[in-house]
Amino acid sequence: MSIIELLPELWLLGVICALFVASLSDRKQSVMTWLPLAAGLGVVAAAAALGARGEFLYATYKVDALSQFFKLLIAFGFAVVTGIASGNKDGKDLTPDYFMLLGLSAWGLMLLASCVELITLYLALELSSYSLYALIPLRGQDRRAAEAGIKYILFGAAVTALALFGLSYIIAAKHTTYIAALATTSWSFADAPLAVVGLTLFLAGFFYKLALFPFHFWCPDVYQGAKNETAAYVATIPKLGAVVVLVRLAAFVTPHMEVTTILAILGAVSMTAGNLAALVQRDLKRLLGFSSVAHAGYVMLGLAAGSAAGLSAAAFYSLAYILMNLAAFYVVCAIAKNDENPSLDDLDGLYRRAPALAMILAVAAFSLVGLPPTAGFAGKLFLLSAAWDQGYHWLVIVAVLNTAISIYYYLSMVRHAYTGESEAPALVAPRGYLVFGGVLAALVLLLGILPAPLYDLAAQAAVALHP
Amino acid sequence: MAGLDQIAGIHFLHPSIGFLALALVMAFLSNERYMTWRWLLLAPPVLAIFSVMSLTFGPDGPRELASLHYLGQTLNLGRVDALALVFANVFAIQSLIGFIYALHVPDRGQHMAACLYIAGGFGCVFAGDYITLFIFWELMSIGSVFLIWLRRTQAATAAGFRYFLFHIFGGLFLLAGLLLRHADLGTFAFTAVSPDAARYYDYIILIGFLVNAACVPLHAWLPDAYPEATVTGAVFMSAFTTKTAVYVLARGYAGFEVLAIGGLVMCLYGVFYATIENNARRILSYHIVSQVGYMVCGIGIGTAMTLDGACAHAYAHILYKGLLFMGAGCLLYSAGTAKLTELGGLASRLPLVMICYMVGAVSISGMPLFNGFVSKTMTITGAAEAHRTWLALGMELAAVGTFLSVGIKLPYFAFWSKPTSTVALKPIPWNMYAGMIISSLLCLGIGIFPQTLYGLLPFPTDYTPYTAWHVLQACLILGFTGLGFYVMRAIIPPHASRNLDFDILYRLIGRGFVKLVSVPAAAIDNIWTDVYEKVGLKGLLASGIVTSIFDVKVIDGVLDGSAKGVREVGGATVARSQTGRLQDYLAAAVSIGLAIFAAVWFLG
Amino acid sequence: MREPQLLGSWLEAARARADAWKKALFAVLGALVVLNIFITPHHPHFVGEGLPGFWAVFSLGAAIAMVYVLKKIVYPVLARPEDDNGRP
Repeated sequence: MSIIELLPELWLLGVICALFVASLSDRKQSVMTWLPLAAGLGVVAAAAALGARGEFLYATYKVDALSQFFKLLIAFGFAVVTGIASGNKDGKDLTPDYFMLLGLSAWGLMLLASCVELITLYLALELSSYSLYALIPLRGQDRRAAEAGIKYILFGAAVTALALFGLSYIIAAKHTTYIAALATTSWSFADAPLAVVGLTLFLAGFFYKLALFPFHFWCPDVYQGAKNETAAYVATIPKLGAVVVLVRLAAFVTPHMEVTTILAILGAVSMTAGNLAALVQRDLKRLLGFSSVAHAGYVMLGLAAGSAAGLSAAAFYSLAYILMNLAAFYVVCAIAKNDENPSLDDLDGLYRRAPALAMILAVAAFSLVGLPPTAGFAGKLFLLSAAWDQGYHWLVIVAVLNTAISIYYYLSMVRHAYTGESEAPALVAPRGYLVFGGVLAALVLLLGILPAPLYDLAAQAAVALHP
Repeated sequence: MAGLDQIAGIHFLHPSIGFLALALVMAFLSNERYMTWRWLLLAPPVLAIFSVMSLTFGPDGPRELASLHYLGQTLNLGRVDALALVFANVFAIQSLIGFIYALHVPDRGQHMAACLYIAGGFGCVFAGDYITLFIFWELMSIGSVFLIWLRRTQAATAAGFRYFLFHIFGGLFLLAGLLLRHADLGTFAFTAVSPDAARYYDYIILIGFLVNAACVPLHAWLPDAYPEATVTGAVFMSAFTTKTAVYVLARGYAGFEVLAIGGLVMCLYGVFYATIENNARRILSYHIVSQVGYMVCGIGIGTAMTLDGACAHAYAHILYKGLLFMGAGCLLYSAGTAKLTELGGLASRLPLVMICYMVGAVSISGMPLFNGFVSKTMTITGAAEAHRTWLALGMELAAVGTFLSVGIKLPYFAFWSKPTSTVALKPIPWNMYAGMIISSLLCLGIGIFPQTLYGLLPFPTDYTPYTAWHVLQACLILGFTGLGFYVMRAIIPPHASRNLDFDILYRLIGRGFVKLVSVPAAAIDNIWTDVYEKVGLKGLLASGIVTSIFDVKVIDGVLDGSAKGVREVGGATVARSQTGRLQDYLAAAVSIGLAIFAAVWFLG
Repeated sequence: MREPQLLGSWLEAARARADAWKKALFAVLGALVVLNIFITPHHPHFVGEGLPGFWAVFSLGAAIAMVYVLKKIVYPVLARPEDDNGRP
């Protein structure tokens, strides 16, 4: 077992330990001096470990193409969130323990990416969730954050209890919890009804993390209540964990089975509900919360398709999603005053007050809609073609209609930014911070223009699962 | 790129690369610091010489050394064999001489143009397929037209424009021919065309080549544009455009009878016009037509000896024509004019220029001991050996005329004919002398050691130029032509005038075409404008009003209405499901989830 | 760069003695014709090439004819004013 196979996890663990030590000390020195750099090095470490392969811990922990791809994305997301947090000059709660909890959650997600056995999967899920439970209420003395925290914990606890219950059904029916072994058995309702019920309940736990309808109700309230930086994290990284597990599990279902039909229907309803609800939102984070519900629905397109193309499309779309969502949250964090929640009216006149931020917002919004040449378009294209090829014509049509509906609220953000008038003074952000945002926007565009290298990575991973 | 490592590999450094790189670098250098960076100009020619030498002393036989994938085709950029190498050899040497001659010019635009031009020339010589050839052919046109335009006189701008038009016209023939050829044969490979099997597209390509070769009647651009080029630009242009055309003709069209006849016509036509011209550089330009005629004729006859003769002649011609243009360029630079009526009596004031010029003059005339002798006699003998007696005689006649106009008339009226002139002479920079002296030494050297040239020729030859008869014949011709000049010295002096040439025909055709198109077209256009205004426009405006009403009331109404509906009904309704109460959330999640699962299990 | 003075003055002097140079030229031409009687081509390419003096006569005749025809007949037809650029 060489170190390179576990390099991303070990590096992040090292960062967490350093944060722990920093949290113990009395000095009020900010960790922001070294944390973004360390997180960036974590991305490099994850990229270096892309080719690592191995199995550990009685083959419950597998390092393969899919897990390494998602560890890279998680490391990247964590680095970007720390970068976004670095722009918050008067962040009193951006203490070392805040970042330690953030790091622990990310670490749990990395472990989740590599788990190929259901119980370890559950443990990793809980590890990442507990850190988040502690993180959500951290917002000064804000009562709304406490409320969001309670909702998240209780909703999460209820759903993960359901998941555990479903896990027990699977063990009872199949007598094994290894995904590789489960893949070889039959999953039709006629052959194994108990197992199918168990699987559906187990999946509910991950639908909750992904904020898929009907397990999404926590999502807008939590985003609105939590701190801006926390919301940026919660909106993006945990979804990666959910997607990677769903990709693993979806690998052993075939299209038009009951399980995949459920995935498809949930996806369709999620898209629609998320988009419709977002139409009337005024709070930016709430709007983005509902939009993430809709995007969870889009990801379902790929998972329901279940072919190698579908799974790689889902993996690629999760990458595109975290990029564009992080870019959107970057703007939200940048324009927030005193840690308040920005609303659509706060965007008025942004093109004059901070043209760079307006541009980044525009790129993020176009990408979330799915307009070329952005990453969102490339991702949606792959998803739609994968779903169509597997015969889910109705789902594709619903997705396209939903894209049309979503144009309204994403572009209304752009409309406020570019045509709204405001008396507010110019927004000054440090140049490095603006460059960082610019790089995010550029990556969104680059991924849209040249999706091939990263899509190939995702395809490699998917083909390994589903030849 | 796939072939880049082959191009830059140790075995083949395409000479064009150096020139293109220099042109790019010069974009970032300034004219103010020209004196410091001008030595860079000599680097690409030296590299080119090395590259060509290494290829010449490399393995024998045709090789394809560099290819590139572009537009779905494999371009063959490095077809190397003896025929290509002899031209590349002299191109490399002449590029060095030309840049030495041009070192004093503090105008990077001219140097960039020259670099592009020379790069195009090398590219054409090494091109293995028609597409590569076309690309570099056009690059040459562009480079050379700037060498004319950068003279920055009224006449130069106009002449450059005509030159450019004509060369684009020729290039279009080449393009049309190569595309038609590809459509028929399926390949772009640039290989020899057999005279019996030539199709219509081969002739179309031939026309394109003949434009650059300045074959009568497509030659008028040459004497029109070359005298208007810059002093140093003309030196480059005299070498590359026409000799590249000679190379492609030798490669593709050896043995075509039409070239033999056309070549002879060029020989004589050029010489005849040169005899009545006044501008020194125009005389030299007509002589290019004439000398290229020798080469074209040799290619047309097509035997090994005449092809060798054509290549040898091209080699020698580049050197001595460059030298002649350098000499005339010195006169233009120093005295400010190239017109023979305004020159004269300069021999004692510019003796070095005169000597270098005379070296070139006797070379072109074929005096023994100089390189023209070893090449021209080979061509003529080759023609005679192939039993083309009239062609041989015609070429001898042209030789008489050549010596008459370039060898005697031009220098006589430029350097002598009047008492020693007292016009103000601009001092000539040292580098111009250096270029001329190097050229003179090469002309003399190759003349004395013909094997250096014969070793490069594509076909092995055992022709010995220095036989008693050959030397005597050459001396007889030269001597008695001189006597003829002396006898006719009253009639021969030039007058200040411009002679009509074929370009009048081009202009007539051009004007006629414009009139033909414009008169009927203008009439139709008038009628159409009327109709458009009265019927079309009003109708269009009316229908526009109708559609705009439809758009606003109907379409926008539906769209906005549905959008409002979705937003207010759908959005608001769905958003209201977020009650904010946890118990509602949990209840909703569980019940909706179970409902969907049940529906799918039991109904699916 | 200045031209060499020595060469320039030598040429001036040579010009002054142009007559002597002319005589030298005629002498050389005569010698060439005499040589032609002895040195002839091995394989005459056409009838007449073997005759002594053929090329001398050819070139002299050609030169004279060329100059006369071109300058006296062709030139007046083709000549145009110098700045004419072909517009009617």
